[in-house]
Order: sequence, then C-alpha cells, then structure tokens
Amino acid sequence: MALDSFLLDLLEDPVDHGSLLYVPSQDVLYNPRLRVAYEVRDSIPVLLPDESRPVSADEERSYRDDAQARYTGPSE
Amino acid sequence: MDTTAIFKAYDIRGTYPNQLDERVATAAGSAFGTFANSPSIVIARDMRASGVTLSQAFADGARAVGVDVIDLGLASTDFLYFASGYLNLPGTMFTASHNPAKYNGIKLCLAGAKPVGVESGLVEIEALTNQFYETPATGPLAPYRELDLTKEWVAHVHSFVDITAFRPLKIVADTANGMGGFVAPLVFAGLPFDVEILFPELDGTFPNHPADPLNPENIRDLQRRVLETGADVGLAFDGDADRVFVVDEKAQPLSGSTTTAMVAKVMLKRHPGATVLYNLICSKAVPEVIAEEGGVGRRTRVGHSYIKQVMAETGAIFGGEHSGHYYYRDNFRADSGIITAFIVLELMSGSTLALSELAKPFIRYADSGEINTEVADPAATVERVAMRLVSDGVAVDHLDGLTADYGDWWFNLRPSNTEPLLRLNVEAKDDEALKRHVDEVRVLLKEYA
Repeated sequence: MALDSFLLDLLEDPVDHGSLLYVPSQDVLYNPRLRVAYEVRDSIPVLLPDESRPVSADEERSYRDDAQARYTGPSE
Repeated sequence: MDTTAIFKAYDIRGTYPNQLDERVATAAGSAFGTFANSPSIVIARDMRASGVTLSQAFADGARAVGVDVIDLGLASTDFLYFASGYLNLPGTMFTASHNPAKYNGIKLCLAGAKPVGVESGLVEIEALTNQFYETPATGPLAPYRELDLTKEWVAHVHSFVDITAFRPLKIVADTANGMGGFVAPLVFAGLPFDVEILFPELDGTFPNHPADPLNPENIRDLQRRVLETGADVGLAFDGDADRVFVVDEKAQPLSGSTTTAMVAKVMLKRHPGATVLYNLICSKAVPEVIAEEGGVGRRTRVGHSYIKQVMAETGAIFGGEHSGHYYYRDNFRADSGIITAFIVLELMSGSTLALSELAKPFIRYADSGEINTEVADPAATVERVAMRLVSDGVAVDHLDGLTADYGDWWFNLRPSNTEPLLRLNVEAKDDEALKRHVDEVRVLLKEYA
C-alpha cells in the first residue's frame, strides 16, 4: 500500500534532513544527494541511517523514470 | 557549449540569451545543487527582466537533483548573502551588478554566505554545468517555496546601529533603477529621515544612467539634487545595491578609504582593540585611524575572497576596500553597502557637524584613483620595475602586485588577470606632490614596459 500524501509531506532524510524521492512501485525513499535508499516495509518507512543502502546508477535511473515517483516535503 | 566565456573568477556572467540562457541556467542549477552538499538552497534575483526565467530555470535544475529551493524573489545581493547566513544555506543571486541590460549573471555562495570562486568550487561547478548541459537531470522536482525574509533582514541591518539615536536628516538616494529602489524604502521606513529617492522604478534597462557609481558621470544627478535640495547626504547605489557610495552636503564624494576609516572608528568604539582589515589600495589614513582608535590594522590583497578569508582567520570585526566594498564579521563576513550607509548616518546623527566637516579628519592625503595603462606583458613589466626599485634601495612588497613605499608617498602596481593592463594607484601628501609622483611612475613604466 502506498504511503499517504499527508505523511509524505512530513518525511525527511534522517541524515541531511532534506527531501526524499518516494518511489511507490519499489517501496523505497531515495536521497539523491547522498545516493542512499530507505526501504518502506509494510507501509512503514524505515528511516534509519544504519538500514539505508547505497544505490547504483541503474537503480537511480529507474527511480527517476518512475512516473509515480514524487518528492517528500510540501507539495505545490 | 563554451562555459569558459561566462565562468569568471568569482561569478558567472554573460549576455542573455546568447551566452547565458535558460538551458545553461538549468544546467548550472543542477551543477550547484550537486556541488553545494545541502538539502536546500536559497535563491534571489535583481530587477533584470531575464532574471525571472533564468532563476526559475536554475531552480528547476537544482530541484531535479533533489535539492529544495527557497525563493526570496527580488532582493539585493547583500540581502541574499544575509539569507544564506541566516538560514545557513547555500545561496544563488541572479544579477549582473552594474553591467548593461543585455547581461545577467549568477553569484554563488555556500552555507553561511561563504564565497565561491575559482579557488573554492567554481571550477568544479563549471565542469558539472557542462555535464548537465549535455545530459540534463530528469525526473520529479524537489519542493519549491517562496519566502519573505524582508522583516528579518531589515532588523539585521538596523542591529548594526542605534536607530533611536538617529536625528532627522535629509537624504537623497540615487538607486539608478536598480535594487536600491526595492531595499531603500524597506530599511528607511519608520526612521526620522526625509528620504528622496531618485530613479526608484525597478528597470533593468537603466533608462536614466548606468548603475555604476564608481564612474563620476553616474553620480552627477545625485550631486545636483543634493545641492538643489540642501540635503545632508547623498547615497548612490549600484545595480544590485551591494555597494553604496556617499556624497557629502557639498556633493563631494567620499572615497572608499575615507568611508572605511570613518566606519573603522565607529566599529572600534564598539569593539575596542578589535582587528580591522583594509586592502592595500586604501589610503594610509586608514591604518593611521585604526591605530589611533586602538585597533589592530591588517593590510590585505584586493578582492572579496581574500578579505573574507583573512576575516575568518583573524576574527576581524570589519574590513574595507577602496573600491567601495565593506565587510562585517556580524554580517556573515559578507559586504553590505546599506549597513555602511547606516553607520555613516549614525555618525552624522551623533554630531552637529556637516558630513564634509565630519569627514575632514579622515582625508589626509591625495590619491590618484586607479590609472589603467596598457602594456604588452603586465607581469613582466611589474617584475622589471620591482628589480629596478630594489636596486635603488626602495622598500617594496609583493602582497598584491608591487607596492613601493617612499615614506611620504607610495604606489601600487597590479597586473590585470584578464587584460593586458596595469592598474596603478598613487598616494602622496598633497595634489602637487601627487602629480609629480604620478609622472615619475609613468616614466618608469614607459622605460620598463
């Protein structure tokens, strides 16, 4: 189940406190500045630095190309 | 794309749209967003018409690499530096300062208004700009929001003076259709001044005169109006309102050195024993005043990145450049013309003397201003002149170009980095001696060019 937009407006990266790219089809929240991804498990975003993982260029491209992807933080 | 034409030593500047267009701005936004190592950046622009689409394109470029953009909208360059310091975020200002209407440009700083230049990131940003120009960042855009920080900025400017001590003064401000027309009404509101603004309409085509007060032609309107209205003081702003030049009640301009010395005195009263910086083009009156006021003077090279660096190393409270840039430690070490103007107004408020009388003790020598001479090989000429002077037993130093100190007069010779030019500054005890010494140096230059 996708995260709701109210929650997405509030979520930020636990390390640099910036916006995250949410990719619902892959259940990840991606930080493009630090190039790390956080998993969304059972609709719970696991925003723990210890559980983040590095992201390959191919994965990053798949996140950016996903039509459903959006950034967290206040939407326009 | 040829970025070498638009990436300068301290900023990006070019003609719109043939050198600097929206595609370049988008690429530069992605480049800066990647380089700046921050989840957000703050941006602003001056009144140039092209700034609207260029700053939006830059914002989109940064957002495409996952960086939130906070947009101040219209602002002066010193306002943007304040926002970068206040929010502790990297900043981007769209302005070409006093350059003609066809130009626009981008000034960048890191969080805390830290300067970005060729030695501090601009080369990397240029390489990234080229990459993103060829392969733009794609995908969703990070959040964008507008933010009004004018109240906070005005309070910050006022914090440098005691606004309750101001007395009613008649001020004429020539904002030359630049950003001074935006900021002057904000900072003067509610104060006991009678302010008349010349050319307040924001218009990047500069229909009245160029917004470059360093050129005496461009302060003629201000001088005339000061005399016509019997104003106490005149202020001339440049295009992005980060520089302000002061003219007294007789319409005589105060040099950057005189203003530096006056502000140094005020700052040292407030911060006894503090360090004050002055660049090596400044009059000898500046270190003399600093010493008389119990401060520690420190001579620096020309250029804002050097001043800011030495300010960080020494904890200096204030620094002045003869060219009209004034830096304050408590302004995130950035320069501000409007803070300087306020300090001069405070000094005037504390005295019954006219500004020309107040300034007199700080005007001690005659200076030539910057004299540009074309030579084939500037660096080699400086080297040959230096060798001759050393063999003559003259005291020379190489802090920036060549400075020769003869005791009762001195000169500095700096090669231009970009043109086959030598920049000469001479100071002597009076006009007659100055004229003689300028001729002497010219003969030297002819001999060794």
